[in-house]
Amino acid sequence: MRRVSNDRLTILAGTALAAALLLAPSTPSRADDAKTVTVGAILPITGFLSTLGPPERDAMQMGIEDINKVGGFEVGGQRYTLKLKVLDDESNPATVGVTAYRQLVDVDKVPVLVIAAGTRNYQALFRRSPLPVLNILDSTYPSILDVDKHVFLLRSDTPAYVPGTVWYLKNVLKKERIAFIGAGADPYSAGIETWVKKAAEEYGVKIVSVVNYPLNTTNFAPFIQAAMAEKPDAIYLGGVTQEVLPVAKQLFQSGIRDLPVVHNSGVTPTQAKQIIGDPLYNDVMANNYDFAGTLPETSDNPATKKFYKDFVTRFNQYPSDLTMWAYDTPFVLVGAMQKAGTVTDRDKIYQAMLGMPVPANTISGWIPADGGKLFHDRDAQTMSEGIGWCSDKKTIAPVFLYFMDGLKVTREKVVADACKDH
Amino acid sequence: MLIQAAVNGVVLGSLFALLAVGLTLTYGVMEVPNFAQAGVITLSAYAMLWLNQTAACPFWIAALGGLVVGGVVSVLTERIAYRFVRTRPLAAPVVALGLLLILDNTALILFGGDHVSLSPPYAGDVIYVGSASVPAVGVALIGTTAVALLALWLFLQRTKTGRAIRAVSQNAEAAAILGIRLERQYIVSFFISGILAGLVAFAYGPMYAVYPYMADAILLNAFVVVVLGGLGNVAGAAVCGLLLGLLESFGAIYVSAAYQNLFGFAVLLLMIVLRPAGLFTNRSRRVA
Repeated sequence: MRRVSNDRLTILAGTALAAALLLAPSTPSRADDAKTVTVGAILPITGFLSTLGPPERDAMQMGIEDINKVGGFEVGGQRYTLKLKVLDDESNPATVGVTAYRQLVDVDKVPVLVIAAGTRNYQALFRRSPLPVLNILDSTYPSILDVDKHVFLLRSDTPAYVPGTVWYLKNVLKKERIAFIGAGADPYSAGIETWVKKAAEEYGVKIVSVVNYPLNTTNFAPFIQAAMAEKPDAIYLGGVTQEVLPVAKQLFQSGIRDLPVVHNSGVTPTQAKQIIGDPLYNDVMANNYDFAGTLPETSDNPATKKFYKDFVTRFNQYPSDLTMWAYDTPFVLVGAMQKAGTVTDRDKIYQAMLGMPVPANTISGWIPADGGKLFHDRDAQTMSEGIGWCSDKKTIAPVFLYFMDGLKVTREKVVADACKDH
Repeated sequence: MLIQAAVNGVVLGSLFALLAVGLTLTYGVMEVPNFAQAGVITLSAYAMLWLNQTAACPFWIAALGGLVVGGVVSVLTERIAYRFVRTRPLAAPVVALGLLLILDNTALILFGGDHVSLSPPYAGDVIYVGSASVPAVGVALIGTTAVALLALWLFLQRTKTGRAIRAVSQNAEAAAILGIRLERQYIVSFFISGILAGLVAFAYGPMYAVYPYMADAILLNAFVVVVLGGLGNVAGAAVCGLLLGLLESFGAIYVSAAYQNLFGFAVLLLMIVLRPAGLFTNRSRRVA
């Protein structure tokens, strides 16, 4: 065998490397001289809200990649790309989240901030260091829009979907005696409870029992027993996915299997399988109905369908409504910065956000306010959707599409045989 | 309603008893408030989960593996940390809390923060006792506790090692003079405590979910039981565990479910005022 000298090897390797660099697919030349805008986000990556934070982060990153892939965006003749910096609040905004806020807003000087939970914990900081804040999770009652004028909500608020749940129970499932089991320490659950009561009064449904379990409860047997003592014909669970699913599981384990269980958790089949366990989740979810924003999986929009497929392929889990809103978040921020003509002036970006139109390339199906604006009263709105469970396919299907005008259900569409059609 | 409340109370009480017995055993021999027991439960549960779902072992094999992991991790806490504070009782609680943070965060780093379900084959079954329903996972918890407590009692009463552990818990210096190897008894006690933690993971994991802080909250209830039963008193912990479970269950139904956790702590306060040594304390004997 012929030996090759070290010098020749070096030359060969260098040539190969140079060729590889020349032949490698390059990003569009217009992005080469682009500057970077860092978007700050505080998300619950760990802790009791950890089913929500990571998919939101991943979807937001997908949106940013899609923006950067086409060369970024232009503001004032300068091209920019986006970069996401996520800090984990550990589902503890009061301490960890506040520290993260100071880091991103005061140290990193991000022009806009994306947050998820615990908005009220940042109230003092909003006043001290104001900037446009886009929330993609905190749907509570009273609304977080009252906290500070700089807060925007990129999702529909609690009154937009909870009354529709009670309406569906009464008019479609023909149930009139609801037992409410909620998470006592969770403001999201408290907001749901308030609107369940309002809707029940409006539609003539009786709330036969209201039980709230304390923080860190893991054995729900006494609460289930207290709720069932009043002989309800439907059970309404308040709270987020990680609160709702364990209660649903213990209801099933206690032998309560013939009553519809409704909630507003936005649970995906992936989460149900993970939290309830396989194969039990398919049986537990069989009588569950979940009412929240429209899901990418059930959308007819081709762009939304593509997002759904891409997300499932990339992360091996079903995207929820939250992920769809998170994907749209960078497009909203870019739209605001372009309208403001700046990527650094927080006040101008805030003013632009107030009157910005629905941005192009978004997938959530935003329902514009008067004049085509994205934000109504600083909240962006979509249709709401009830989903049922298809046991044979172990997945979800839309059973009810609606939009609330106060307590009046409008644009309603009941899907009779959802699993067959889906 | 009465029967259902009683059944719920026995399930809850069994959990408290199983957890408290492990805590009181280590307190008896070493006088450390072993907060790290919650972390041992968590790691044991994750071991079961990993063996069952990732390594595709049958549930029962996975459960066995998890028990061994519980025992080993518990012994490691003694070897790496607790043995250095045996003669410094004021330092022990701090070390125990530190260990808990380390173990919980080890689980967080290794397995993430998501809630994940441990699913035994009987997870969806339900058994009816008259008008009351008992989840099969609850029956498994009661059965596990009963067998574990009986086995522990036999071990402590009928075996040479068990008698040695009792001797160490009564008076370590006197036991050493009589030729009992203290180090060995400490290790055995922590191993048994770890196995009990594994049993908690096995029985409690399927009821709720496995996550890094899964046992932190219920550990507080277990400490209430340990104090009520008399520190280091295994039989006291077992009885008081059941009593606390029944108290919380009946209180939740007949007073208010929202204050379920309050009842135990209210009784604890009363006990500290009226009988600070606990309900079942016999000063001459611990771990019996």
